[in-house]
Amino acid sequence: MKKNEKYIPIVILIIFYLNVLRSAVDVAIAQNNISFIILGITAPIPFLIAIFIAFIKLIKKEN
Amino acid sequence: MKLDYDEKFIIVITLFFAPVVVISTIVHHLFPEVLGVPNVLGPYFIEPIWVDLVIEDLITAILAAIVVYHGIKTQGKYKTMCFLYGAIIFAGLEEIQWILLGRFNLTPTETYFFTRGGLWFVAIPIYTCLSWFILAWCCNYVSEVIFPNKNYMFHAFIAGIIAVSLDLWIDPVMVNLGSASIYSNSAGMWVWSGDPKDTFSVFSIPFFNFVGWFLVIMLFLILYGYALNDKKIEIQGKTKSALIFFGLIPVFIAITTSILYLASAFTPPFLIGVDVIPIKLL
Repeated sequence: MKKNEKYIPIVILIIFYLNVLRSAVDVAIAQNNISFIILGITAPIPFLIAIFIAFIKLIKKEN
Repeated sequence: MKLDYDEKFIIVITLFFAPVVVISTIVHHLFPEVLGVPNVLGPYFIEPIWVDLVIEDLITAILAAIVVYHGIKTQGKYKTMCFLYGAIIFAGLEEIQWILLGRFNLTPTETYFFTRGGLWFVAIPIYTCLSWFILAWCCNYVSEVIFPNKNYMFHAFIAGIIAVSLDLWIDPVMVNLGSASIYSNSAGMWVWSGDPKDTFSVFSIPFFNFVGWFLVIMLFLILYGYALNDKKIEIQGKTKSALIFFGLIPVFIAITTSILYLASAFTPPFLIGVDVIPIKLL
């Protein structure tokens, strides 16, 4: 496996997250309700922390 | 050209699955009355709407293809294809079951249905199946990276938590996406048909949706780790291992369904009709 290929699942998860964020912004604007964006920062905390830790671990492994 | 076992396996499994998708797609779009598809407009952002559907299926397929590439590089063609089709069939059948049981009044309350999709697998859009595959693979990988010395059951549990924490946000957003559509009468990507007064909700979404998400991701990863570990494949051979893996999917679906039914039946009455942190009040 090439060096950068191990980051693929993390990049895909970030793309996934950003895609939902785009929809959340659209809904927040349409309904004039910022809850959809607040929820995106609070509810997926385990998801965001896991991605961050995995990313750091992969970088450390590389060095 | 001589094909090796893994390539033949990919062809055979694809030949089994492709006709199901073709027939489901034709039935959904041309004969919606066969499965009682509700006549509800989904959220669209581009006209004509078929372009919107094609773009969505294409983007999801590209992401899935990238994950498949990662899988082939890390676990080989055979295991990756088992994971791909296993995830699609496991999550697909689980969702189809709930959608159709709810639609034909075979559950205590109505359930849900999807409003848009290009390609279909019976009652769910293919992009949903592929998203399940992508999330299950990536969350499991993240779990393995964070806890390299733990076993597959622990990885499956952590992957379930990671995935469901994201779904706590995905569901409320997607259910409300109709308000951002170019058509004023659009519903969300999927619609919960039941009366909120009959269920326990979190962020205005039925709580058992999240329990189901967690169980499907975790149990599928446990099944994959159990049936397709390298030692077992070496002892039993690839064909037998695949038969065990796919053969156990209905058993695991039955386990998931039973847990959800039991949890639903034993929900304390004081929770029925409660919405913990309604999305509108957050």
